[in-house]
Amino acid sequence: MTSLIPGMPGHDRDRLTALEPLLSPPDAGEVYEQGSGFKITVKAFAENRLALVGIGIVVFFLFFCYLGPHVYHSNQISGNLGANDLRPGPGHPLGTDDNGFDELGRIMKGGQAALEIGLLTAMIATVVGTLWGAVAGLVGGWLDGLLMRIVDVGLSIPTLFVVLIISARYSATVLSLSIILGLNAWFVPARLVRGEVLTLRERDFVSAARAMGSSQTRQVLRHLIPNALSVVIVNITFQIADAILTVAFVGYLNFGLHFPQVDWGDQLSDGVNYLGDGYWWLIYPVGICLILTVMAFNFMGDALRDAVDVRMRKR
Amino acid sequence: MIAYLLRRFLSAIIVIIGIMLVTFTMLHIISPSPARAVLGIKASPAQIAGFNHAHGYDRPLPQQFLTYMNQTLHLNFGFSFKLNQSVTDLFKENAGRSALLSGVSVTIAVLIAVPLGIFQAVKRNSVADYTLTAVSFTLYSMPIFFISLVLIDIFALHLHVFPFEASQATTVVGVLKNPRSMVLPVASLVALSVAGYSRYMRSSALDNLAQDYIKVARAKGLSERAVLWRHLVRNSSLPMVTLIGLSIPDLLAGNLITEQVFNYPGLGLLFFNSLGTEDYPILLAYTLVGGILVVLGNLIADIALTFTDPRIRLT
Amino acid sequence: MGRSIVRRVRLPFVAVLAGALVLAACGSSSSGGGKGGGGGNTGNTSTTAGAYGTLPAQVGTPKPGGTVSYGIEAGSQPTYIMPITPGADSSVYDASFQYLLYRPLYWTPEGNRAIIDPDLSLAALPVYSNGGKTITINMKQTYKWSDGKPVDAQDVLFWIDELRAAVRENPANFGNYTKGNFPDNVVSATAPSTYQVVLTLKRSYNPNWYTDTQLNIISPLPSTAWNIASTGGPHLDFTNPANAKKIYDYLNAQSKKVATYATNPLWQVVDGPFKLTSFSATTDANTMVPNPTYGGQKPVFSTLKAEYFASSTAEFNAMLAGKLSVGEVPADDLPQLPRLKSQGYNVYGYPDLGFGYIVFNFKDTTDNWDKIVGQLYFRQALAHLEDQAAIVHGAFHDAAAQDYGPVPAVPATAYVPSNAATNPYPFSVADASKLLSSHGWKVVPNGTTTCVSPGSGPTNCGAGIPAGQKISITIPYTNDPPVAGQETTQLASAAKQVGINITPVAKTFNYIVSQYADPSAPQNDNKWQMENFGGFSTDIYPTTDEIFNSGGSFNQGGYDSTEANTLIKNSKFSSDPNAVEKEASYLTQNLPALFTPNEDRIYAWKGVSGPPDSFANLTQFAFTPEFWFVTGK
Repeated sequence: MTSLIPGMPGHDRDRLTALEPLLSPPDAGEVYEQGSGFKITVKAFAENRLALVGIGIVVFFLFFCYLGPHVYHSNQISGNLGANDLRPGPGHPLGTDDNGFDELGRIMKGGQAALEIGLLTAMIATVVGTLWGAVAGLVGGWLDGLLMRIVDVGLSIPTLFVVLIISARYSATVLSLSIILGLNAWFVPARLVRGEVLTLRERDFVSAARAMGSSQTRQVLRHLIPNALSVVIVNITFQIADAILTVAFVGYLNFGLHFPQVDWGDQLSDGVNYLGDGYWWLIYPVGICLILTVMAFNFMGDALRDAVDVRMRKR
Repeated sequence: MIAYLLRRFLSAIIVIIGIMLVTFTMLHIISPSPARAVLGIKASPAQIAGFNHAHGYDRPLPQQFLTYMNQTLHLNFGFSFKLNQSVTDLFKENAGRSALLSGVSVTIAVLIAVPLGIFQAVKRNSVADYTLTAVSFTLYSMPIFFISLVLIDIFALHLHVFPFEASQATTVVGVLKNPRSMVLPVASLVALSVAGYSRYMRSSALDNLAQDYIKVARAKGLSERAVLWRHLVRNSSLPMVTLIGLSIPDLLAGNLITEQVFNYPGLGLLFFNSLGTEDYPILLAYTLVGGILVVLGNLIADIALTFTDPRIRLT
Repeated sequence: MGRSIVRRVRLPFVAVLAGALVLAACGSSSSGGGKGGGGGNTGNTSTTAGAYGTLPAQVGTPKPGGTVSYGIEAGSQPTYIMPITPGADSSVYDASFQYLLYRPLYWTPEGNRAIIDPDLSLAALPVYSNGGKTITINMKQTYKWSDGKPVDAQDVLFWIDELRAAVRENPANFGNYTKGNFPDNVVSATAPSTYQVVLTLKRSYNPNWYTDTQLNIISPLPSTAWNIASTGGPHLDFTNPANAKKIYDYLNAQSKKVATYATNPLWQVVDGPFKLTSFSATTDANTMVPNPTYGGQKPVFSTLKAEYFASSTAEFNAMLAGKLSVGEVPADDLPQLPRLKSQGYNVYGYPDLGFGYIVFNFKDTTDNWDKIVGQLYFRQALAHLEDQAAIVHGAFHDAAAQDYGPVPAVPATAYVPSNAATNPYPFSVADASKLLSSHGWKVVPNGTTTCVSPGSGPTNCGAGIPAGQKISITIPYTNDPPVAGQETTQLASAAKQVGINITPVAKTFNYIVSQYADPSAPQNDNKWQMENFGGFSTDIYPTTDEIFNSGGSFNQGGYDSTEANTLIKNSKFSSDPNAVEKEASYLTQNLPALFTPNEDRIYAWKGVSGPPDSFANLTQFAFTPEFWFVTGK
């Protein structure tokens, strides 16, 4: 199973979490209190200090990236090739990049795209994955088998390969990148949601709904999805973190945003070309921003997951 | 059990065929023939046509796919245009080195992660736990190439403790003779994996610590160390096998980037170079090998899971 | 990519290194024309205008012994040994490898000068007669094959017959083959005496063109040793086409067995300065030793070692560690030169003959682009927006020479036109703006410029351009190496200041040259307006035949100019020795593309020394280590 972040096996825990409901046989008795998504979120953040730190970091970067350019003005339209790769100095607190743009201003602009791509990718992946998984889990039978085999194929093809092949044909914009990454990331939510659905549909309230004659669609919409939502919320946060990292990964392979757009991933990967030349200002500032943001989302996701797990396992 | 294995095997075959179909189609949609890439920009249309005819690129697509499947079944993976060798030979050459890098890294990562996770579980919410969590998350949030490059920057370029590229030896034995050059590549891969593994280990250990049998063991008067060793480690470790099985694709991708950054002549670097030269036979073979490894990894993981909890019905 | 794997901005042209400055034919050619030319090496450290670094003089006297090592990289390895190289294996690297063992008839360059080197050639310069339809080649009598037989006219005829057989089987069997050119344009090839070859052509050609682009590919083969169709089989008469085919098939099959290169007795029959002693099937790394029967300068050191590197970074790292005698310095790594020099390396760079360019697509009809780009004033305006000085400084780290046309001032050649010395369209946003506004455009800096005065008069936008027309350009550029992106970004940035909207788009090199090319992918003509994949290395007779003539195989943008067609035709067929100059002069002014700076090929070496020319020629993709000796420093 390919997680979005190559080399980061941690998110396979999501898959194992999906299997865990299968570990304990369906409980026909007690119905746990299904807290609403909002309640879970608040509980998670109240209990976990790191999650608060995460929120703080994300808020900081939102201000930095979107309000920053109004405070710190730099020319991000016309580069100046003759004045490129300058060290930090007067007029350029973080120096200039490969094309002569002010690096600090570029980082602000890059953050906008990074956050947007992260959010958009997560949404695409979650929407597609949730629907796919819900249908598969609900309908069952051979359709379930077919849908899941497709998911298996998707999980088994290295993301890297897909991205590189596609990058040869299509160019990268915020939208196209989000779609491509999103379409590579929906396999995990699909599995998760299917697992949840499989468990939940054995629960009493679903049988009750069925007994009362509500249609399949109603079951899905009214009961299953909201209950599976907790798992989905956890997954979204991790998806955002993964997406931002994947953009960096993909930028390293030269399929990323280029002038006039920019995002952290490309900046970082362009910068590391110059590691041997000692142009540290093209590498570390952007790298730290990226890592902090990804970390922030991971903190939040981890806290949410703990809250969901507690609910499910009565630990 | 046998029935289960047979079903899984069949399912695996379907998935693998699916992988082959998808990658084959993608490659050919993007670029119907590598003729231009192989012959160079100055090739005349007549030469391109000659090349295409000689290698079958002018046949209809379904026929090409069937030929490809047929050849693969006969274990004929084709001939690399740029490197003038059979793909099988190239893989034999490079697989050993890649396996060495991955194998050593995974082993070290597990040896670190298991005690680390248990330690964190036992000392839950202590200062040490929080610190290790923070370090974990930082590593977890870094793009793969970033860790490698930072290590190179610090240890190779500034401190001159380790060389900035991996061993260039042509045999596995040769690589083993130069352990110093492998420290940084292995360290990068370990850093990536340890974060995820130890988090999972911690979580799994926490689960087990809450279990009754631990309380019983402690009540029996067993020393803490005996409790930890005899019960906790054993019960928490089997899920590690699952995790490793599931992280095969990430290992492949992590291996790929690490080989590229450190110039380590393995399968990953071979794949990377082939992307630039559009060496189709190598690209297809690598994806196939990767896909098979992923499917195998999933299978092993699922089987290991059943041993963890015999209540799981294998479906 | 973190580290570039394909480093060249321009794809090196296949094996065609030879060329001739035919001093005899019509007299008036001068060497080193144009400003900044005259790169004569006078023995002491020589500075050539436009060169990077200086060439050191020879240090000490030649001492025998030692090993000279150089690098070969993955994807640039020698993969074919027989000197009729198929397209798939053709590259300058494979050619360099072959030339160490089998010398071509005519050798280029001479030092860093793109001309035929009479000393290293196996024959005197060709003599044209009979209105240019007869060529007489008198071979030198001093070269022998290692089996004792002389290198003579039969060996040339053998090669020609085998080449005919090869391309008749499949045009891709010879990378340098274009239908209609050599050997198709040769009616007959005969050897009136042992050391004389006479070629009769179908029609007359410009002798410079013919010598520099057609005769330069001739590579004599041992006609008494290789004329067999099976191992240990009988020697056949190669003049019989059926036999020639059998022989070619045999030689080709043997040449595919890479593992046997060092052991097969066929390949031990060499006329070059080296013979092969080992060859790795997996990496193509190889070792050579001097050939004692070589008719030219015999090497004095003991071993020539080619070491394999999985990437150009690995090779550069080995140089940083002081482990290679000679190697190329990738452009990206120029900031690390001080480290290289501290290891004791000499560094020298010079552009090879060719040009970089950003192609105009004249065939895209969407949004009236073809009408816009068809206007010369518009192309001139764009040319004024290109800042070559900034590109040379910022993107190439000062290791490049500005280039305004297909024949630039640097490297110095006899064909440099007079308008190559100064930029006819220097960087000036104001001039670009003025050109547009004086032709009916309303220029809105940082906004959108529109046509306000449609029509075909001298102050109008031009025929077919309606009022309100905007200018929106998509430029695919190769994502590797980074300079293409920097060039394109600079253009886009400057264009914004006159209200032209350029969107650069990164693609792989292979994708651009195969999909965005009018000759081979006309169905995509409406998908791109300009493109930047690098440029071309040309022959030493730098005509742009096939590149800028209508219907040319590499006329990617479909440039179509009657005047250019006539001039290019003259370069190929007329007897005017200044034909190429005129062609280049016109193209410099008419802008079939935006020309971009010419990158220096930079090489570094240590522990070896020799005559400066034998190092200078590295920059022209030639490799003559037989002149070197090991100094051990």
